[in-house]
Amino acid sequence: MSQTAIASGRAPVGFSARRLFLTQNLVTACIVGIVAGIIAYWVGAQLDTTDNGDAGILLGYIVGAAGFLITLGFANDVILRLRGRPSASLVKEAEGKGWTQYFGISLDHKVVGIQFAVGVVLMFFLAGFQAMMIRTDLLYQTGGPWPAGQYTTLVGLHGLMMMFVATLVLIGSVGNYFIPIMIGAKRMAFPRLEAFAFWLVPLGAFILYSTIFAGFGGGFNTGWYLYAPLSVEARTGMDGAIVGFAFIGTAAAIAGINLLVTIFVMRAPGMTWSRMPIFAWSMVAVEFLSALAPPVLATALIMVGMDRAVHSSFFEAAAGGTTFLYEEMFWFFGHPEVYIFIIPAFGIALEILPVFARRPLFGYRLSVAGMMGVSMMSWFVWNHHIFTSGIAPGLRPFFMTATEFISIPTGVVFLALLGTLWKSSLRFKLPLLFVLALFFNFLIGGLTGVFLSDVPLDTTLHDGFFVVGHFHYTILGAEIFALYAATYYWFPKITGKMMNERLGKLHFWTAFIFFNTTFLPFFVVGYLGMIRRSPVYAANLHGLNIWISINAFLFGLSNLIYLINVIYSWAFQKERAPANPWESRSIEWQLPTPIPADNFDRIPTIVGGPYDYGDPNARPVAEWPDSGGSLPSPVPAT
Amino acid sequence: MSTKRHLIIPAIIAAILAVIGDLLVVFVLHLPPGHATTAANDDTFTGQVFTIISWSVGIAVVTFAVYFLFLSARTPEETSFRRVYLRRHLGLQAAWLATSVVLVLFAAEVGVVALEGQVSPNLVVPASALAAGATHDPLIVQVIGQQWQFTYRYPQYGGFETNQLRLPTDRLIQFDVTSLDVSHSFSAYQLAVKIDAISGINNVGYVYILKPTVIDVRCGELCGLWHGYMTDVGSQAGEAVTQSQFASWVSYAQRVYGPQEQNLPKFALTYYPAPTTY
Repeated sequence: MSQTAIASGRAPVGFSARRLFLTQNLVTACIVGIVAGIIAYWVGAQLDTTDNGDAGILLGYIVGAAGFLITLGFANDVILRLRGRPSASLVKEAEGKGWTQYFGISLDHKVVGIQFAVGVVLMFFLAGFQAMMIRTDLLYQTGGPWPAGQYTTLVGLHGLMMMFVATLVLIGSVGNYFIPIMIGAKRMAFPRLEAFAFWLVPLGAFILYSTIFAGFGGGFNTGWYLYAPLSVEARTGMDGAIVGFAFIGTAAAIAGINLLVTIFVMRAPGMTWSRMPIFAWSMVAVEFLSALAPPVLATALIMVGMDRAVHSSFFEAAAGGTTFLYEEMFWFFGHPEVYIFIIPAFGIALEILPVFARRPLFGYRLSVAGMMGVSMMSWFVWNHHIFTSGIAPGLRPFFMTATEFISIPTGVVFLALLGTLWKSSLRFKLPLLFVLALFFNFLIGGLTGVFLSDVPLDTTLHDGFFVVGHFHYTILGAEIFALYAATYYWFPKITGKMMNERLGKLHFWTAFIFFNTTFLPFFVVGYLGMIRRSPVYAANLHGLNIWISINAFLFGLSNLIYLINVIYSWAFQKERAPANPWESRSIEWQLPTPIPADNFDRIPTIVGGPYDYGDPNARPVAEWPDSGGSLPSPVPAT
Repeated sequence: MSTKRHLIIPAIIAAILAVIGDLLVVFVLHLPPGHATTAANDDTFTGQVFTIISWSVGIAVVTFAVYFLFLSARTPEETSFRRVYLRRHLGLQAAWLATSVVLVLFAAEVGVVALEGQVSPNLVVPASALAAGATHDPLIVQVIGQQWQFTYRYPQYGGFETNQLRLPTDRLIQFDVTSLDVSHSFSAYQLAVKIDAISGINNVGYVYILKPTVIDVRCGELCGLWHGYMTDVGSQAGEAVTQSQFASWVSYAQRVYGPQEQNLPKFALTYYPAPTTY
């Protein structure tokens, strides 16, 4: 099996202690990162005479992270160029690199896609475990087994970690793995940046989790949106939270720019805008947000860090700052962020639906316009998160109306669903089941969102469990169900094996039923006045909360079925999957499995639309030139 | 023939289900937060309107989707492509968009009407409160959020400070909400009031109480360690009472809390505490 590799002069696989500790690999990177972090912490603590050590901790995290990334090899190419050497080739064959490529810098977008998928799904289960702990605490009406401070830390860890997961789970894995193949490119536009975006993710997650240890501050108490001035006054655990969050934001921005450029400049000949798969269109729509929104977040987090470490008082009212600055900056990022979660889910749903309906996607152009419309309008709605904060009253009607108007382009995907289902001949396979469940969940999530856009109603529902139910329906019910659908759909392409059907059915029914029995009551308790992030609640809500907790545990177990299914099907299943089990027209299914390192020997010419199912006269999507006449790659390989 | 039939049948089913659900919403489902204040009236009414819209739209989409699922189970895969050619349909798409625009405009209008009188930056009293009989001489109650309790000052009665919230019915009440430290959110559930308490900012909100009620006060904004316990629930903590009961409570409170007044900072719209020492 041939794989693309970085030309960093790394030796082939084979264990030796010398190679483990003296070359650039994950082990040495971790060691150098930790040592550099400790030294930087010590230096920072010496410089900082005013405070409780925020400067040292921030410096330690940042320098440690830089040490890790440089040792892993991200500076190699820069150093080569500075020394006047020719840059390493991007497509260099390295035979038999095997599993070690998954633990280093890989310039193969498929390897990075797997890295993202495995890493982020692990983070999903970690953060899901926190959700189970939260639900355990809420079994008790006046505070459960965890003390109040630990409960808030749990909520913050769950929220922030799930934010990391939701930002990257579809873009990072499905986007990185399949976008170059879908558009007929051999690689991503910036493979090194792609690897860099991935390695920021475990770094960010590790830094976030390091905050729970007492030496790093013992947790943080601000939830996921880190409102100043609470985050300025919080314990030193907050330093890790802001650094980790900033890393993930940076990763999202880098991945966004990368995918955007790839789709814009590296499409195969004949891949016109109207022939592009709808998932690639969803990536275009989402990457404008992903590239432009997180820098605002990073700026706000840097300002919080400066307020903490050097007392710059951007957000301290007593020194002339204001918390409104933080709230506006955060939600200017925060609202596009939630569409970063959901638009790829639309893309995956509409990508998978026609394959199993055996009919063309209804309203392809309108769906594309809808996703682009959501993407553009999402910049103009952020103040609906702070209706009660005392923003100028004149702003409220505008943001209320704008928020309600965004449901028009969003609703278009339901028209695409209905039109595609119309007189289709459905094949009820697992990916389709999850897509249908996704639409059902998102219908509830979307309609409850309209409640929250209304200012008078928002006064009652804001900061309550209604909001929590709403965004769990959209993120968990739609985005994570899209992850399930994508897993069951593309698993045979990635691994060459089918997912187990019986376990899959069990997973589907338990996930769909227990998801809804868990989160529908959220709307009730929210309407009845249950406040978020609070371990205590009114006595009359005790029964409902016990019901929610039990169903949440069952939903958690259902996710374990998914995990078991993936591991079992990947590692223990013997038989090979058929080359194109779903009879899909899309290009990735026309390639051999596993997909070769450079995807295409010859770049195909795109001659047909991707969704002409049911048409006996439809042209194939792609034509491969004869072996003699190889077409040039759309960008010169350097 | 069959095409029309397969659109009319689900439409009829959806209409029946929508009407049943909507009647239940109006006549059976008593949506919170109730009718204790004019703001609560607005919230309950808009909640009903939005529930009706959401239920009708949601059940229509679900009915059509489920009907099409059953229909597709009977459609053979080899059906001629031309007969079911439905890649785009201009009229259908335009109708869908037009329907959603109308619904959205209606929903927005409901919200804007409820906001009437509140939209001016000059803090105009809500129109619904004026319609209920409010006059322009509000009782001013200052709500001060701090870690981890709310206290209330009554500047028109000497500025005493208490942690019991007592409000009169049938009189316009002006909340001046501020914070001494981090952001809190003063949320009084039965009053349908939720105003963020932000240090350095005086957030103003109005409420006009129509009938006596218990007031559950909670902090809505995560404010640190004991955020969850920053609740005042039950009549001991908050209560809306008649005007005469309120007058007697004020004289009692002035007697009890008044002597501590000289220890308090002078009444102001915002307070800057000394910077916290680390």
